[in-house]
Amino acid sequence: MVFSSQIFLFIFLPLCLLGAYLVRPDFRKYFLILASLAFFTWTSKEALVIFVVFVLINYSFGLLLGKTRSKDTLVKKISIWLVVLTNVAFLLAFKYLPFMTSSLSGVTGVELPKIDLPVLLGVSFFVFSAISYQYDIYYNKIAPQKNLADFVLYMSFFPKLLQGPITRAGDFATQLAATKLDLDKLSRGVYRFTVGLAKKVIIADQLGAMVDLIFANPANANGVSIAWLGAFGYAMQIFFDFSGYTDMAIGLGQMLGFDLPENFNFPYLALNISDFWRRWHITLSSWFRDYVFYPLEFKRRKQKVFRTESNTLIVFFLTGFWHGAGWQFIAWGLWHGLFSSLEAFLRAKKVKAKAPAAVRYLVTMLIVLIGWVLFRSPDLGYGLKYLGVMFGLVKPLETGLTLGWYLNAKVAFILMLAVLACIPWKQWLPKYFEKMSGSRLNDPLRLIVFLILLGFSIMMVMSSTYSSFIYFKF
Amino acid sequence: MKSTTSKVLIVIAFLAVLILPVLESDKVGGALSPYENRYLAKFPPFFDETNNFSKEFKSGFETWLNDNLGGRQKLIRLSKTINFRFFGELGFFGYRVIKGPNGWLFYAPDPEIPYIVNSFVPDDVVTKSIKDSFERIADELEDSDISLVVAMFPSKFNVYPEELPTSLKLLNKSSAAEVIDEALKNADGFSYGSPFNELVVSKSVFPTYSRAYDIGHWNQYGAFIGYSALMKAAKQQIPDLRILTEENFTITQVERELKTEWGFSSKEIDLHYEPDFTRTAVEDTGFFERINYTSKDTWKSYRYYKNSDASLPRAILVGDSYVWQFLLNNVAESFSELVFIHYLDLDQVNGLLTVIEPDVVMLMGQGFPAVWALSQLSITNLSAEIISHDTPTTVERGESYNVNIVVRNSSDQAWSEDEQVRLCIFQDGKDFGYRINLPGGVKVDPGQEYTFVLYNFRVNDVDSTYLEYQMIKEGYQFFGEKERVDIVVE
Repeated sequence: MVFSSQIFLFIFLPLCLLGAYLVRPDFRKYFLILASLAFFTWTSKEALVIFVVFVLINYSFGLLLGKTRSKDTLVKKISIWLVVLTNVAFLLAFKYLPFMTSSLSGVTGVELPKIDLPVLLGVSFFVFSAISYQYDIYYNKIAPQKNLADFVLYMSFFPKLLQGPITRAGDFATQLAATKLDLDKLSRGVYRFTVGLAKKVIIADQLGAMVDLIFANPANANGVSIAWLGAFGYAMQIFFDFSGYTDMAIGLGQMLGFDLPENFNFPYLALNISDFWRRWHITLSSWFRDYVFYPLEFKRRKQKVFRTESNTLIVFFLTGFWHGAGWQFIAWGLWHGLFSSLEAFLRAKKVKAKAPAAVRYLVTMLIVLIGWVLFRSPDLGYGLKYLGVMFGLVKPLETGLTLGWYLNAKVAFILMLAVLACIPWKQWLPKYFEKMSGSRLNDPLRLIVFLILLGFSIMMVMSSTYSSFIYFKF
Repeated sequence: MKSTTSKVLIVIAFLAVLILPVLESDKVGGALSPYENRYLAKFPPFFDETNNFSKEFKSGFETWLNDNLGGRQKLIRLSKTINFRFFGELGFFGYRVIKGPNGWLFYAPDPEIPYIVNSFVPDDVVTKSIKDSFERIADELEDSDISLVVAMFPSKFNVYPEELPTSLKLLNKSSAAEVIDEALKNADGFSYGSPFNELVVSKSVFPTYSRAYDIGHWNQYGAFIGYSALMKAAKQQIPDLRILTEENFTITQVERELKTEWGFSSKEIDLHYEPDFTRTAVEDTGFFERINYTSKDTWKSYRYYKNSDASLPRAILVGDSYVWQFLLNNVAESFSELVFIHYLDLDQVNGLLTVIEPDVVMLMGQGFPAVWALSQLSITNLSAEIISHDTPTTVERGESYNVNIVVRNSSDQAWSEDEQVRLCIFQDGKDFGYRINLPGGVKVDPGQEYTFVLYNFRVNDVDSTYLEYQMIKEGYQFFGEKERVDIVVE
């Protein structure tokens, strides 16, 4: 069940809000657990059973780690390794098994049997939530959650279940203890949710249709300009899709009394790759920073040469692999890792960039764009060939389709909207916004913007189910 | 938001937008959608036939909800209007319809693009193989004294390439249709009808294809040119064949207009052909049911015409919408019996040959892909008789039965598993893919009988059912007699 589906918008969400606001406050978390499990069950009953078992195992692990906190270091270490490896094994099994077996078959030449496990939506997110919880206990940042209901809600809370933001157990528990539903939070949540819905259905989905057409062609069957359009369109699509989803998740959280962490901060304004990762998928970057990068830095603290650079590469390799089971994702991660390492190296050598900001910006965006091509490609070979076309290294086939075939008036308009929406107007025009904020027109204007976004989004959602059946071609 | 009023208004507006469409939804569903030309989904049943909670309910409920929310039709219309007014989008969702600079509309889904921009042009090997295939079919038909006529009708974009939008660039001067058209003109053993040239030449006098009223077809004038070319080719095989000419009709110019709810409109002219004679060919709608016709044709375009003049020749006509929407009435006037099937049902031709015993088989289609598909026809002389079977007409629920079906090979070719000749078991009129294979090494020669055994036939869920038996050559055709047995479950 995705947030922009009709079943979620028109059935699940109203019922969930109604329930959350009508039940007694002390029953609210039980209601939210039920709602979250129902949300998850919509995928499949089998997936729910596996998820519940996973949650219960991690609940037990948490208690176990809590008990080893006072024990000697070896017992503690063995426990955390056991816990983390179990979670990683779960992730590998449910997300990477087909990739691993096909890669192994490719390397060894031995046909390995296919094992079909149920699809667990959001597995990467909830496994990372579980690992962070266990690590935080291990590092004594939090106490193990003894209240099973609180733990189940942390793991299953439906706004963040499928695509994050990845929430830390400590933050969630603090909020859960002080959850309060009020009009202010509700209205802010509604506004934020609507903005996210608009980003998703008005921008991302519309661009997605064009991008899908381009990437459905063989890699060398797009002309140079079309290949660039596809790359740019995808850069916009993925940002508005993911940030739209995050806005909806944060909005839903607010409607239900929680403040989920932010995930984006105008990433397409970054001036270098490290900066980009401070702005893009922030909760994932900070997860890798806290649970992989810092421990690696600490563990290898005696190594003086190439430590941070190699640790950065390891983190980005894992980041790429986390995003998907395919070499193209690993290549994408390493591509970003390469530049992040280089930047770390230059920082260590205290080399300062002398190029003007505009040049740094363009170079950064070019690196990001190249990365997105790899990310969007069905496989690594396709991505490299596609990039070859973009940079004139591969001669494209003549298809007869010009740039105008893909870049029609609507796509051009939506791309323009997307570019405008990437700009932090509030930061760039602070005086204007301060003035507006104090003005009597502020609320009516915001209300009008809200109604327009809501109206258009609902129109897009409903008309997306349109399917005609005109028998003019047989 | 600072004021409480604004906050309340936002929440109320949000909840209203989410709740009102559900309250206003069509709770039953199944209504006809004027914008989509289809029936919307009905509310699904909670329980299945065995009174258990239906496994299909979840997906059925979502489909019903997506189709029937209150205000959906109005929002679709609004969306189309905005898209048309602001971006020039035509609004025929679900299909790629493109517009040329002079307002010509073309049907251009992805698979058609190579044929539109001429990026695919068949080479000599391909054209020769298609030509050879038709010559082979002609040979196979000749064994049964049946003539073959082939015709290709060019697509709208082949005749009006100058009206295509500038976002498409033609990569070759010749289209795939033109290349195959030229090749088939020089074929032997069958007659080939080509209206291509006349459709191109005549368009300077009067449009031969619909500009926008019909996105993918010729108009009545173009269709009459196509009819004349087809019948001229058929006359080469049947010299006495009656052909209708313009003299048989009163022809008037008519204006047609396509007007959509979202603001698109386009007017064009066409010709109307009013016959000056009384049509003698009559459609018999029960024919296909009587012969237990099994079809893959989504549009159920198959037709059967019978003419009061029994002395006329008989024909099987295989084609597409260019034929059945435009030509059938006129073609039927020249035959005592005429069967039309869509080329998706090409594997049914062999079965129909034994039913109709035609004088001529006519294969025609629009553009290169249709001609290529038609060239895949394989004429076989397979036939079979169901000699006997011991299917119980009353069975105990859940009880297993073995059924023996004795079939005689009445064709002139041997059957074997290597040839993929099998017995097909239909249940309740549907082919669920259940087959009884001949054991490896077993060969049933012409005239021989073979007993197929259906093991462990069992009925659990229903009160009555029926089985049908018919032989099949997998991937080609069902053939021979089809036997039906009704079974009561106790």
